[in-house]
Amino acid sequence: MADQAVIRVVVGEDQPLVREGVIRVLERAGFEVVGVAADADDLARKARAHHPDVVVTDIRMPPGEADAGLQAALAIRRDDPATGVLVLSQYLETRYALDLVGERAEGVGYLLKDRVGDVPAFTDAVRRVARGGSALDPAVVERMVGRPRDGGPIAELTAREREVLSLMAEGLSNQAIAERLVITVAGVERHVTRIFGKLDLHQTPEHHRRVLAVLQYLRTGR
Amino acid sequence: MTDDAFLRSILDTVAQPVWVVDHDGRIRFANPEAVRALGYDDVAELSGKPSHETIHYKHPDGSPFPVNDCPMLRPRLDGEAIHEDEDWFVRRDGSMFPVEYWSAPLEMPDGRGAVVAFTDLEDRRRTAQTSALRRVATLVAQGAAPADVFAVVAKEVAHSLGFALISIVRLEPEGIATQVGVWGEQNPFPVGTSWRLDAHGVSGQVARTGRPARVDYADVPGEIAATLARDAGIRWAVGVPIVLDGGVWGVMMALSTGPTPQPETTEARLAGFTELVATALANTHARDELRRLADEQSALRCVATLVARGAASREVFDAVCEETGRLIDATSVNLAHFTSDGINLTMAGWSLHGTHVPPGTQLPLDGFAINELVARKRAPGRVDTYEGVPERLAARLRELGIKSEVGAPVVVDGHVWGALIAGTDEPDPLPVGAEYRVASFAELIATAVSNATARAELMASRARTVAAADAARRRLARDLHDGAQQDLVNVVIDLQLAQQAWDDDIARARALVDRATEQSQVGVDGLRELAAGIHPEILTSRGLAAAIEGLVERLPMPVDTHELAEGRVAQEIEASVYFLVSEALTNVIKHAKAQSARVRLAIDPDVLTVEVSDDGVGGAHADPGGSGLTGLSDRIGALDGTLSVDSRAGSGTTLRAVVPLA
Repeated sequence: MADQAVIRVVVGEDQPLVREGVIRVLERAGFEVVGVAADADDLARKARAHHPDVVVTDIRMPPGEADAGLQAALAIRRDDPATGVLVLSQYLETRYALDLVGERAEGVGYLLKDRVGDVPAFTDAVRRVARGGSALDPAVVERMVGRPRDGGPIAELTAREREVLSLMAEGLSNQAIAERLVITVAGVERHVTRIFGKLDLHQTPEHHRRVLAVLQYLRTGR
Repeated sequence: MTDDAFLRSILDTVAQPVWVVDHDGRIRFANPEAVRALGYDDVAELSGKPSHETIHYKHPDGSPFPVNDCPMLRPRLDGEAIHEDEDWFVRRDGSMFPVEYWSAPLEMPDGRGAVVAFTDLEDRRRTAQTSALRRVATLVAQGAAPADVFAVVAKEVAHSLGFALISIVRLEPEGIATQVGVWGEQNPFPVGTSWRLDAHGVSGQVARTGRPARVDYADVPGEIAATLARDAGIRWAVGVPIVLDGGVWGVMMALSTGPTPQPETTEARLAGFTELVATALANTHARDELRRLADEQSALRCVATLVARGAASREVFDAVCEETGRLIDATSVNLAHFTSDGINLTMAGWSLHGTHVPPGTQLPLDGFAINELVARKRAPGRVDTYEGVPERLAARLRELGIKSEVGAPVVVDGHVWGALIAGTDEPDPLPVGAEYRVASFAELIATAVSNATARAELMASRARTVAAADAARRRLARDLHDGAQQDLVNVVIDLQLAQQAWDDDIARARALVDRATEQSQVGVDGLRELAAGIHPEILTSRGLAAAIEGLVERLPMPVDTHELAEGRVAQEIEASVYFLVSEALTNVIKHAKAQSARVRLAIDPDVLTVEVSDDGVGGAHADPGGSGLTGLSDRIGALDGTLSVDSRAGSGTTLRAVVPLA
């Protein structure tokens, strides 16, 4: 069964200690690290050569530091849509995350770097992205959802509905949301329906379309 | 050859006009020069005519000249030659001309006659006048001083035209004439004499009409005519105007003795000389003007150099006062600063005789002194007398002996900063136009003041920038000490405690590690936000709009960011604008009591405009001592930009920065 196959990963990280840490965490969790790059150009090359299921990369990489890792990830996403990209970032900036997602919430993730230490959450995110899902950092999502607004539909959501909205934005499935909130999947579905109603969004059966719709809604800042 | 034929052939070749009279007083023949001078076409018209009755029958005044009174033909009778310096002959058409003649006896076969040779004095004078004009013109061309030209012209005119007295007068204001050049054997009025013009005198008539005039002093009452008649025997006068720049500058007069008026041609002959006089005057004026300009330029350059060198204000002020005074022949110069509370503060002064207001003097700026006039009109002006002017400043000036003043405003950044004032202790006011020359120096003062102000502002701004940087470093150190460092210290302590508990109390060790993990997470989050606050990475990678959106998401207040241009500009501009927005929004949150705010950013090809507005209480203002708006202003000023604040109480605050994009 394809889902059970070993997930192949290319890692991009210029700091040796962090690089070793990431590799160890991934290998212990059963991932196969097929390539390691210390700069953005090398990362793009290795991603093209290995066609991994997912690329996990630091946002800040030589050359040019800044967001070279993110740029490389965007290029990989464009050139090889089957490869997921998960960007690890020390910047809590929604703009980076939204730029990375662009028009396609499939196989994409943006996590704060210190999430790597939370091994179950981190490996779960890598796995989701590798399988075409999405993983946005809760802090990034919280910044979008929790941003002060001059009224508007989001202000009318209940606390629980905001929680569900945030988890949807992070990329969790109804099943995962149900587990996280310790409620039934049917209960999650009811919340989702009400949320979409209040935000005047069209429900879509496809998971990644739902993530995109939510992110695009939050992006407008209403 | 007969004697006649012999004589005739000689006389025909002589340039001197000559005719021969027979024993009977009839013209035997005349040579061609004589025929021409007397206005005839052919010698036949004269031959056989009685000489006296044909060419010598009247005086210039028209009265008959009886033949018995005439000496001309006497040599024929007594055999003695005679010579007349000046007499008048009558032409065929009845007109007369002055001559000098000689008459000598001539023995002829039919009895003793006479030979008369004469010289046309007008011809001689014409020649003399031509060379006199040439000499005067040469003098004028050499740039002689007007006084020299007047003296020479008077002498040359007197000699070449044969007048007893030539007088050149300058017309002064208020109907006064002053003798500036004179020539005559008998001259009652030396150069420098002034008199009041009247309707009878020749200079008065010329001054009034601007045209030549004639008088017969026999008809003129008054002291002048009497003096002229008594001391110099003057009877007649012709005056012609000396015209300079379209106005009557003066009058040249030819005065003569004798029974008859001057010939009709006199006016035209004088005019030849007055034109040269006018040229000499115009040249002198032009030269004076050039010299004045050169002096002014060099004085201005001297001060401008000081200004450009950034010399201390006091040095510039003193130099300006002195240069202004020397240039316009003022005896005192003061620079005054008008303070915001209506005081006239004397900043600098210079004077020839110690009559300037001492620097440091403070007097109310009111009343009628030139200072107040200049302040009110914002233009150069003059006060021609301080006599009877009330008010303390005028009184102080009277005490100092200053009679009159001119002044010009010193305008700095659109405000009348003060005035440059030049005065004189002479009874006559400074010449018309002096106030405009003072204005040139006032402009230099304005530049110096503006420079000094700009320099002072720049230094204050630099000091504030340094202070702000120091404060930012202190704040950063405090944030690190209180935040991340404290968090890490706690982590280290917890981990050390966990290590010690590891063997004896594993549950406690786990709890300590958990707490250390949480603590380090807090530290990491804190460091991330601190770094973002110092300089957000996204500003470098994505530019202003992304960075401002990121900033706004962290704030506990809704901020409208729909109008943010996405373009990129120079890094230092992006950084300054970002911090401007950041500090402005921080101020809004702290002080404005606002419900919401808005940031707008426009990037045009040559200018960036950013605007932060809120719906708060308003009433914000640049606090000179504080860091708030002044700090922002410094930041934008460093980019050559301008910061404006619109913050009326109750209607929110809008902060707008406009930054040029080079």
